[in-house]
Amino acid sequence: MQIRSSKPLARQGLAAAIALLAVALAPSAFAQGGGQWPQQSPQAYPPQQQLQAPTQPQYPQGYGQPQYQGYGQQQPNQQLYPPLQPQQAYPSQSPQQVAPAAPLPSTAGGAQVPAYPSAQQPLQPTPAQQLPVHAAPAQQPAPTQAAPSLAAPARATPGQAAKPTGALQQTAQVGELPKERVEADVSTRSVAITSSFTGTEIVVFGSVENSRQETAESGLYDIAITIEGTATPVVTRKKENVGGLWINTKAQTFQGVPSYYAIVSTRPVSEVAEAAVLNANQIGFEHISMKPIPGAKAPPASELDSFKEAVIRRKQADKLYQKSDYGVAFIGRSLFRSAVNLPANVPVGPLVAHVYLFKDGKLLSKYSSKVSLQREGIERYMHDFAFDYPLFYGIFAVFIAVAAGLIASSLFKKGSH
Amino acid sequence: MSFYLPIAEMSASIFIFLGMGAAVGFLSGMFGVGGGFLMTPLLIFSGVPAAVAVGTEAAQIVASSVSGAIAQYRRNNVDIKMGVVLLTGGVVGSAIGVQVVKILRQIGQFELFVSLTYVTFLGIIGTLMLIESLNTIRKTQAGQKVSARRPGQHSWIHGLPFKMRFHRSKLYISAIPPLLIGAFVGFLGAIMGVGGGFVMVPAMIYLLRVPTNVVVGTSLFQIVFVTAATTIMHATQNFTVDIVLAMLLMIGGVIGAQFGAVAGEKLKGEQLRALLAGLVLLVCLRIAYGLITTPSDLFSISGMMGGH
Repeated sequence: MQIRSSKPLARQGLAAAIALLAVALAPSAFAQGGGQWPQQSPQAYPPQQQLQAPTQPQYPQGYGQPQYQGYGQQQPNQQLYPPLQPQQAYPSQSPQQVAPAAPLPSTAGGAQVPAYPSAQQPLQPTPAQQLPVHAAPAQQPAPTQAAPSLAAPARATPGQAAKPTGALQQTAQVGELPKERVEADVSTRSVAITSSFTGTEIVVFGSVENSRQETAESGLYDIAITIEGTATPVVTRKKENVGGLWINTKAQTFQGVPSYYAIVSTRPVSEVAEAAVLNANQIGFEHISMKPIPGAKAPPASELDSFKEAVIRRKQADKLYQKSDYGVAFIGRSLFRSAVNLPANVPVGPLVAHVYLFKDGKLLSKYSSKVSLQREGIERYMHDFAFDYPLFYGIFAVFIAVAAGLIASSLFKKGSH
Repeated sequence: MSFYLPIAEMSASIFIFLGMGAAVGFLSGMFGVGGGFLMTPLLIFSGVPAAVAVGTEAAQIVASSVSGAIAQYRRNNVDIKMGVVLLTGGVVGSAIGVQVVKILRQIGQFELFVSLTYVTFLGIIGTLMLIESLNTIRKTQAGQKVSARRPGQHSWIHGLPFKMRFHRSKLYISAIPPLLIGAFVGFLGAIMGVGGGFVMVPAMIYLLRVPTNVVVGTSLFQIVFVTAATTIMHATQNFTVDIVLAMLLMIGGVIGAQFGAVAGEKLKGEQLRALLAGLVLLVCLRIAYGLITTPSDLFSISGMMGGH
C-alpha cells in the first residue's frame, strides 16, 4: 500500500474544501439519500458534524453533539459502518473525503484498517458490492473501505450520490467477477549512501486484490518485479589482439541503459509472457531497451547483439544487474513478497520499482514506486564538494596532504629524539 | 570495517588500504623513493578505477614528499633556482598530461596507455638500475674503489642558448634542458600517478650533471609542487581525486615509511638499489602480463566521460 504521507496538508485542505462544498449542497443530497442510512452514521464524522450542524438543524439525532465526544461514542459501535459499504463505488473521491473524518489518523492506507475492524466482515456480503472497487487508487485500499461512510449520500452532491448506485446496478447486471489488481510497496523508500554503506536489501511486497487463486501454490498469477536505476549512456569496448597486446579496438555506445536493474519473478519471465509484452515494459535482461547512440555508424546486428550481451554480462559481473527467476513467492492467496539486493557499488540516483501482475500471459495490472538513493552525511558533502567546487576541492586535497606530511615529519622527529 | 569511497564509488575495507599504504610506505622509506610507481598499480589491481588511482596517488605523493623536501631544505640540499625551472616545466608537462588522461579516457585507451608507459619506464629504469647495482656489487667485492664522481665533460647541452647560473649546483647551463626534463617528468607523473623521482634523479645526474648531494633535495622540492598542481588539475579536469582514499593511504604510508627508513639503514646502497630494481621489474612484468594474456572477457563497459 502506498502511504502518501508526503502531502497531508494539501490533502486535508482539499478535503476540507470538499467538505464545505458538501455542506453547501447538503440539503438536497441529504433529502435524497438520508433515508437509506442508519441515523447514527453521521456521528462517525465529527468534523463534518460541526460544519453541518448550523445549516442542518433538522439533521438526525446525534448531529449536534460535540464532535470528539461524538466520535468517542462512536467507537464502540463500529458495526454501524458496514451498511455504508456500497459506497465503495466512489473510490476516487474517497481519499479526499476521508480526511475531514479526522478520527482516522491520516490518509495513510494501512492505518485506517484497524480503526474499523468490524467493518471488514460486512464488507464481503456480495461480490457485486466489491466490484467497482477497482476504480480506487491502487494504493489506498483502506480509505476505500472508509470512504463509503464519509461519502454518505446525505452529504454528497446529488450527482455524486447517483454514481455509486449506477455503478452497482451495472455490475450487478453484468455479474462479472471482480478484476484483479496488484498493490505493492517497497520496504525502503529512501536508501542513504553513507560512509558505512555496504549495500542493502529492498523488500518488495504486495497483494493481488480480488485474488482468485485457491492457495499460494496454485500459480494462477505471475508476478514480475523490476527495479531500475537511471537510464544512462554506456560505452562497450571490445579488445582484440594487436601484435600480441590486448587492445580495445571496437566500441559501441548504448543509450538508455539502466545503471542498475534487478528482475525477480515467480518463474522465468520468458514463460510468463510473450516478448512483445516484456519488451514494452522492459521486463527481463533481454528486454531492456538499449539503443545504439544515433548518428554513429551502427555495426551489423550480430555484432550489436554481442555488444548488448556484453553490457548485461559486465553489469551482472559487477552485481549491478540481477535476476532471480523464482525470487517472488506468494505467501497466501494474494500476498507476495520478494527481496532484491542493492550492492555497495550501486550507482547513486533514483530507482523505480515496477510490479507487474500477469495471468495466462496477460498483463493484468502494474504498480510503480520510487526508491530514492542518495548520498547522505559526509559522503554527500564530499561528493558535492568534489563536483561543485573542484578547484577548492583540489586545493583542499593538497592542503590535507601537506598537513599530513608535516604532522608525520614532526611526529617522527619527536620520536627519534 | 568498510568505508564507502565517495569518488571511487566503491565500498572498501579500511584495513586493506591502510595496509597497502603501510607496505608501500615501508618500501619507499627503505629505498628513499616516492612509491607512486608501486601504489598506483596496486590500487588499480585492487579495483580502484585507473583514473581515480592516478589522481588520488598524486595527492598522496604530495604528503609523502613534503616532509622529505623540508628536511632536505633545512640541510641546504635544495637548489631552489634549479627546482623552480624544473617545476615550471613540470607544471606545463603535467597540464598536458592531465588533458591527455581526459582524452584517453574518452576514447577508452587510458588503461592501455598507463600500462604501456609503466611497462616501458619500469622496464628501462629497472634494468639499468639492476645492471648498475650488480656491477657495483661485483666491483666492491673485487676490492676496486668505486668512484661516484664522473669527470666533467662538454656535450651538446652546453651549446644551447638561455644560459642560467645555478649557484647551488655550481652549474652554468641553458635553461632549456631542465625545462624539458621537468615537463617530461610532469607529463609522466600526471599519466602514471607517480612523482617521477625515478626519472628525475637519473636525468639530473647524467644529463644535467647536478651534484648528487643536491639532486634528491631538488627533485623532492619540485615533486611536491608539481604533484600538488597535478592533484588540483586532476580534481578540476577529471574529478578523480578521492580524498578519503588518499587519507587512508597517507596514514598507512607515513607509518610504514618510518619503519622502512630504519630497515633501509641496515642495507648498503648498492644492495638497496638491486632490491629496488628487482621490485621495479616485478611490477613491470606483472603489468606486462596483464597486457598479453587473453582477458577473461574481451568486452568492457564504462560510463560516458565528460558528460557531467
